[in-house]
Amino acid sequence: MRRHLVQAVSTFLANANLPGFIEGRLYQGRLKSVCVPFLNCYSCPGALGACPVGSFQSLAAGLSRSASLYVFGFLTAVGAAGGRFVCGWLCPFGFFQELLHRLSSRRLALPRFLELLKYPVLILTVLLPFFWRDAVGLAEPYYCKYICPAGTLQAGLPLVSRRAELAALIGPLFWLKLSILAAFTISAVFVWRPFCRTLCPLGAFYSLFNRVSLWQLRVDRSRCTSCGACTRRCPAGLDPYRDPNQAACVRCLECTRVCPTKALTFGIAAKAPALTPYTKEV
Amino acid sequence: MFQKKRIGPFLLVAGVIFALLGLFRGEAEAVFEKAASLCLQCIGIE
Repeated sequence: MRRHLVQAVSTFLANANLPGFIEGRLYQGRLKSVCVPFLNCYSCPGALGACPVGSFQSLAAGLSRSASLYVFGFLTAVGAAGGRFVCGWLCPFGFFQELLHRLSSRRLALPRFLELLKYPVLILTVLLPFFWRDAVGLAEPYYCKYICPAGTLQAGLPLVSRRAELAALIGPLFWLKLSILAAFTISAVFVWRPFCRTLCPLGAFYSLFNRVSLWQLRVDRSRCTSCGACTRRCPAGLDPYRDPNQAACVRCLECTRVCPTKALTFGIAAKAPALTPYTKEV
Repeated sequence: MFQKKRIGPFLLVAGVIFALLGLFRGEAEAVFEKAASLCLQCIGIE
């Protein structure tokens, strides 16, 4: 519950330009030069900051083919601090999917191989704007254009509903993106955060840091009774007590909450006791 | 394990340095120009 409150506050703060939703106009103040650490479309009328994926792609797509050190460094620092903690606690689109997941008691597991899709998506998101160019030498933010359902939800739908000149331009691309949003909206009712786990390039990037980040999940083996409470509670279907910092974990920290002996904790890695991997211990 | 514990802080510092270098290169202004303008691709038009 506390996490959902944090997610709600994060969603509101990232999209607090409320008059923008009514007027169908973007916020154009100086805060827009600051990247947010999660997927949050900067063309959302409420957005106060810049989406890192959109920013990186747009700068790479220009004639100068600029690989943004600002965006890359910012995301690296955030990932190195907490891995996918941002996914679990701050991302508005993750929050949206979790709210949808509360609508049904029926839970479906996501095939593991689908979780690997996000890595080629990350590679293509980074590289395509540099190499897939038109005759003039310009590229496009391909991920934002062809996939990003957060952009459709946060920017596409509010803007075309408020601005007739944009609604008049709706074509096949809009319907494609709306279909992707609809697919993830429906699947999120039954599958926990399907987009984050399969196609989010930011989730893929942050997951690379889960095992080395400054803040880590820790298991105190002397306290762990292998009761399985954390595994049963994990919404991603993981085994936190066997492998607490695996890439698929978004660090919602539900496992730390339900652990009856408080063997699972989240803290600074340098202070963690030396752990023997579970599989070698038994 | 000893070294692994230091990868996180190292990457954190490296990330901050990269971000600062980007700021010195004027990338915040470039991000602002993109983010303050309507991105038609993002909303599925164009």
